[in-house]
Amino acid sequence: MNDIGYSFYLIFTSNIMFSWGLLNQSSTVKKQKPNDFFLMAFLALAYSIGFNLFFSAVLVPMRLLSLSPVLCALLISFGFLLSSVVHKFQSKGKPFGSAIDAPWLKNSLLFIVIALVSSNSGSSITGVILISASALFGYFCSSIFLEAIISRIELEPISPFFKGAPIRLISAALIALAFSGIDLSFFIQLFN
Amino acid sequence: MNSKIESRERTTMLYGLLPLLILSDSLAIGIVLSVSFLFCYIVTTVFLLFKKDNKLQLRFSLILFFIISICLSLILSITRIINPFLFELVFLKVCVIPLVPVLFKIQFTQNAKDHEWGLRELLYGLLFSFTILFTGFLREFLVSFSFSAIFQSADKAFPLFPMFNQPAGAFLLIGLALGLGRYIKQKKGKSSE
Repeated sequence: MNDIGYSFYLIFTSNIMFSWGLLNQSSTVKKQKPNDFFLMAFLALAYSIGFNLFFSAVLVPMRLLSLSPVLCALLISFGFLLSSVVHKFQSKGKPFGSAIDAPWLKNSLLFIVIALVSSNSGSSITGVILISASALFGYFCSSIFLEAIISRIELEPISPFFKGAPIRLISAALIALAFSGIDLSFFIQLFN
Repeated sequence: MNSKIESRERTTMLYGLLPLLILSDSLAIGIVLSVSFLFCYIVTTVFLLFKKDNKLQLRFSLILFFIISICLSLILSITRIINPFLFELVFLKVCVIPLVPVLFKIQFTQNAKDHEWGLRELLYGLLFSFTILFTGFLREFLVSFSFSAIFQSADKAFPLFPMFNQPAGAFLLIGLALGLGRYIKQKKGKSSE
């Protein structure tokens, strides 16, 4: 599987964990705010391009690919600090660093790091934009399409063993299978 | 009651492994990811043992984050020496590990952090990393009816369920495993009654 596919599926997975409450043991589906979506889109693109440039200009020529987790940590820490500062201004009185607990930050953290990870050294700027776009598409799929599926699943008579998380994961598998054709070859064929 | 809550918490933490389970699509990759994850889990646990209060601090999380990343770089360097081809496949996947929700989740724990807690966390760390390893093995086995720990294509392999190489296969496998686990648990409960 190529980078575009990975970025799509990892965003899909991370969003499923939080939006479907798998990680918070909650059955309620949280709606995503449009502002968060655009903010994440901007951050993913900015970070993907930044990481890609640093990667191809520093890590690859100096043969320091093993240090890529440290580079990720640097960029993510910058994101942490920036988000905390923004959060501090938005909610006066709350202590510095409380933004870590905010659900949108959890989402965006995964979103950013996956965009970073999916940026490969050989990708051009167009490739990075495509990777970010596919990640966004994954986010869109998991937050909007699957929300409708979940509400429909609730009405179906399902075996008690598969109720809740198992059936959610199986339906996510079917959605993922349906979108497995969306990779680099899909885009190449689309534009040819 | 407490054990029930803890068991539920641990199941929730297993869901937090999902990104790694998706990435672990062969035994060789599973080995690298599970060893890296276990190393990070142990480092996080040891650091939390030295932390006196249960408050979440940004500075502490960031320091821990950097230490984990440096440990991962070390593991990647060793992987590069052992198998350069495998390194090419995993070096970007490993970057996901510091942000796996499980590592964040244990930072929120309200339990008293003593040696007993540390040992228990070590056991859970082993369980989580075994889950990553086993998922990699099972997916590779289901795809080609063969497996290889050194990432070389097996000559006698034939395609069985190619779908399990895809993330869709990982979702399906985890969903079915959860359902099967619940079924076995209920059967066990009934037979003990």
